[in-house]
Amino acid sequence: MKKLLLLFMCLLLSACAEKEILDDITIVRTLGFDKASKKNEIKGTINYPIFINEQTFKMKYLTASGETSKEIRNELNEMTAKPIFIGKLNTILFSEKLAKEGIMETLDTLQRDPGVGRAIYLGITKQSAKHILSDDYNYTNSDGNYFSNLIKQNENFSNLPLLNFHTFLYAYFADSMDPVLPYLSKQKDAVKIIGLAIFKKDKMVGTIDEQQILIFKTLFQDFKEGSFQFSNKAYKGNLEILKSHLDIKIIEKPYKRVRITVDVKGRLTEYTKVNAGDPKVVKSIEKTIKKELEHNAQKLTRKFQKLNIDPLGIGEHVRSQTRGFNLKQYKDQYQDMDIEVVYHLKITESGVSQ
Amino acid sequence: MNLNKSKFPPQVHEKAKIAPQLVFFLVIGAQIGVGILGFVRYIAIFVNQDSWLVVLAGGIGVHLIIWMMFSILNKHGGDIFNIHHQFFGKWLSIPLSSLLSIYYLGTAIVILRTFIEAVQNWMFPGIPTWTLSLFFAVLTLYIVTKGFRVITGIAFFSFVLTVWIVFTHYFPIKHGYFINLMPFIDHKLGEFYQAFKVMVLSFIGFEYLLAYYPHIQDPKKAQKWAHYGSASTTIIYLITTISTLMYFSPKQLQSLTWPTLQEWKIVTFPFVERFEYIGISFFCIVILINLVLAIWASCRALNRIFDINIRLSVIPVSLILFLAPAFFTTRFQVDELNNYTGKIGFYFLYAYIPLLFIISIFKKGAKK
Repeated sequence: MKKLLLLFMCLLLSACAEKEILDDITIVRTLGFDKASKKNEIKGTINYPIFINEQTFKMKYLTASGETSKEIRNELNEMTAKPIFIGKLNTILFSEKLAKEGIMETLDTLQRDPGVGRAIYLGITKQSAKHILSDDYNYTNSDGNYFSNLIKQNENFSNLPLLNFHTFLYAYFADSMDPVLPYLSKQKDAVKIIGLAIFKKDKMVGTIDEQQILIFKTLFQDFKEGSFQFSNKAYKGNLEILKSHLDIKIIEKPYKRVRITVDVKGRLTEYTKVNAGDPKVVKSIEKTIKKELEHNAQKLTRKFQKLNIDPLGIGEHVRSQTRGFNLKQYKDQYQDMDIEVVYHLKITESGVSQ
Repeated sequence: MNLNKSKFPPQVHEKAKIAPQLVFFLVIGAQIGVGILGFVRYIAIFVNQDSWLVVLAGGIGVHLIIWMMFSILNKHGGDIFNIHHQFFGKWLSIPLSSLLSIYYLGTAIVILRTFIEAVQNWMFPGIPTWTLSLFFAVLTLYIVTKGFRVITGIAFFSFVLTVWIVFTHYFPIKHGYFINLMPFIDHKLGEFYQAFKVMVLSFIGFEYLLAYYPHIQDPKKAQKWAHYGSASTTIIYLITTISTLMYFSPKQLQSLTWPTLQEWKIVTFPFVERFEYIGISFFCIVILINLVLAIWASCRALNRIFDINIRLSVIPVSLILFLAPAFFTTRFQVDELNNYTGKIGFYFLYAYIPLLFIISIFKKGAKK
């Protein structure tokens, strides 16, 4: 009898919490933000699937503007048949124009929402975010995962550094570090990562172009996959990076000289006009690539110093190696600091054929 | 009512006693609570990258206090209430023991309110405080009436069911930066002391031992296990601290209310995308044992002072546990509540127990 009563109570309790059935809510997969025509207003676009029948669904988008993201959400809610939920959000896009004016105000609301994950991706779009979200790219985006998969895939298997909502917030809040985000552009019927958008706190101040992404990645983190295109007068080719390790050290205190050392191990996957089986040739290729890497890296660090930003987080490394770190003094000296970049390159293989 | 009950050492039936090894689970179960979801932020305010050192120091401090408690209890027999009676006489021992009972109840209220706040913020924003406190109060009432052996069983299961959560720190450590732990020891002694004081709140819980000591078979053997339990707590806290410091930049950490929950946001498995919801649900088990032990200790105190049956006194006490959380409505109030409890706990552990220890050195021990 007691057991029966218990079972009965379990059945009673099962309907207590508020239910959110998948078919009855609007599951937002991508959010896009643009500048609105009215001053101080932003335009928000949501991208969500609608179910046509059991197997097929289609992405739909809706746009509304308002002064805050909550206002936009309310506006959008007034347009949808089912309430909006952002728990399955996977990408947030900002147009370049909006990013230049700062994105933290918008992100702050999302940051406070426990429903929004931290492993989701952020991206800056060259065109308006609405323009990017209004296409389904020949069914590529029919499940709403296109943008997040695009970024994830490139981070894991290609040159894009690991960047997401968490890394953005990490850099934004850090004393001497500035965020970086992928920079996207709509091509004919695909979206392409055309570089990186660099920020000063939450305002976008410039870009790094496509060829420089890998260089940036070597200076930004350790990784195991990437490829570098090199060329000089005699030959050109491609280096596949198998391992890259980064080390930042202070050479001259206080805050005068810093050395970034990158150990790269890789193999040649493509080369023209040379015999890569010859150790002498490999040595000379190594030298060429090293020079090119160092040259490009120097260009990047100078660019950052000129803009007075620190996307590499050099300041964080300096702080960790200095007792009684003086942030103000460091910031004053940052632009004149001598940043050396040294690459140690080792080519281990050159493909399966000699 | 027999006010002279605490004059005599407590008589606990052999069948109601627990094996000394189980003290391990009781200590660890009572120490680790809702505090682990946010304590790193509060110590990082003062010492930032050196927080892990404070955790270590806190752990060592606890070992010292445990040692003192056992030497008092071993020498004079019985429990804290009997010792109060021996040291301070009948009339002074009654208010002292009553204060202790209130303190035990207070810790339970703090734990419950803080946890409910986390649930309200993360899972069910609209849920009224009383529904959750009712749920926990009824469950606590039920378990406490079943006696101390059942409580020990709950402590065991609470440990076994939740210890795996430690491994989720692998993900934030993987994504974190070691440079956030450097440079080593770059703070003033005063800052360390302040952080140490804050850290005490996370370690309290082992002082219930003062109440359940007579329930242990061969209590002298249990000291070892109490130390093991506390050492495990310290290790778990160390892992939490290091992963939190590595994963967040210092100012980012200060912007978060529950850093540990935020860390779980990147823990994803193929079968569960958002681990924080699993984590917070499992914490129901973690805090249940906190509550049960605190309420039991509080009722046990009433039993020893006023000779009230635990089965009777637990009803009004859990009624208080049910009602009290509703009085603290804002984040600020919950924060203050935690602050005060931390302070009281600090003085209780690091002033009152050493005082008792010193008195016990000069007092003659109990006859064998």
